[in-house]
Amino acid sequence: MEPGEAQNPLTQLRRGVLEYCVLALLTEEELYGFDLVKRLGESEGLVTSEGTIYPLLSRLRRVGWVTTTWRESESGPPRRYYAITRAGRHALAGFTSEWMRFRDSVDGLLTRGEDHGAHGV
Amino acid sequence: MERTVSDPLVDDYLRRLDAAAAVLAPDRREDLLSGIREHIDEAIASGEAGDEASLRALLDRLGEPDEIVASAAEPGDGPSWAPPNVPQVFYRRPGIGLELAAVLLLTLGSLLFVVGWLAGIVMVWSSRRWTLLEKLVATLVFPGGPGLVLWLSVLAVSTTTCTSTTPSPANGFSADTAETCTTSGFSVQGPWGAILVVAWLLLPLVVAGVLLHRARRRADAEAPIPVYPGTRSRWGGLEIAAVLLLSVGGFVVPIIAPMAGLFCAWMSDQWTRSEKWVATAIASLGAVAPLVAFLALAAARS
Repeated sequence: MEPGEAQNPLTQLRRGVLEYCVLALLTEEELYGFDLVKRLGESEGLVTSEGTIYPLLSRLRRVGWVTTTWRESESGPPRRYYAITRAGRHALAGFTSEWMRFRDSVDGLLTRGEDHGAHGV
Repeated sequence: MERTVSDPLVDDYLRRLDAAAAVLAPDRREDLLSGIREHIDEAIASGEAGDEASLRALLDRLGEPDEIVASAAEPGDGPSWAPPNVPQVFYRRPGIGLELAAVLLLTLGSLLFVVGWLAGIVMVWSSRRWTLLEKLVATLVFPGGPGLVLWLSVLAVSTTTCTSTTPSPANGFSADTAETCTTSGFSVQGPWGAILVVAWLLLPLVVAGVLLHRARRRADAEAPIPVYPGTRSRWGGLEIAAVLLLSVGGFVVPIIAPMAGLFCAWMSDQWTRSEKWVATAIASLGAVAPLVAFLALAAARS
């Protein structure tokens, strides 16, 4: 664990937001774990330890927001595919609208602080 | 599902993950392990972890097992989960070993003729939990401690040859000197002598009790002392040996034992230089005190 990580507010924020990012990725197609992790990794700053995605997926399955199915693959071991459920889509929609408002409010305050900093000197 | 590829690096990683995941409920533990296993197998099958370097990079990206398990932990999971690699620190309240030893030596220790009492005084003056006034009181009530009274009584009983003389009222001097002796110094006759003896026996005990109580109270007001696992306490064997040799050792092996005690004291890193010099000075006197006591007894008997 990196020093000071527990104090970093972004760590907590990232943890809470990440499951909705996973749901969002699954709205278009079903994905297996490795693929899902790779795609999340493409967005910068979203995932610090890829291993933490798996407990998250396990939690989403337990609350019924995703389901899993095993499928054979041509190259390699069988894969567990994750699919979003109706409840999952519902939760994602609710979070998305709340997040937009939250993001706009935070952005508004942060950029106002920035402007003050720029002109204040 | 069973893993298809075996590699020492991967085996070790999964073993550590399994151990860390012991705090999770069994079904979630299995879920987590199978998820990570699939991830690694898939990476190897897709050729992304072909050599050792890329395999290490893969495991690095997955993160430390402890960290993964921490993110999986939920309220109600197993025994309280503590962050990895942070040594557990305990706190103890500051001890008053030095003050306790000092008080014991001033009272009980004074039975060892002058030596025990002197050792106690050295400790009193090296403590930082007593004020200057308290140290002075401890030293002056009474020099030699209660033990010295008993010693002097023993010496006096065998030597007192005098009888009390009644002072003449006419000469104008008061009658308050009830002591009227003779050969070797000390006698306890008369009311004032008795009062002196009782005071000499009791006051040091009262003072000792008060000083000990104050030391305890002041120590409690100090910051608690962190105790890291595996560290040594302040009072090691060397210091205890030094104190014992310096205080009692002279009775067993005069001169040599106190010298050995001094050697121990100078070896220790728990005392300041000035404290060591004080101990040296007093021990030099103390080393001969038992001999003096012995010779005094012998002379008195003959």
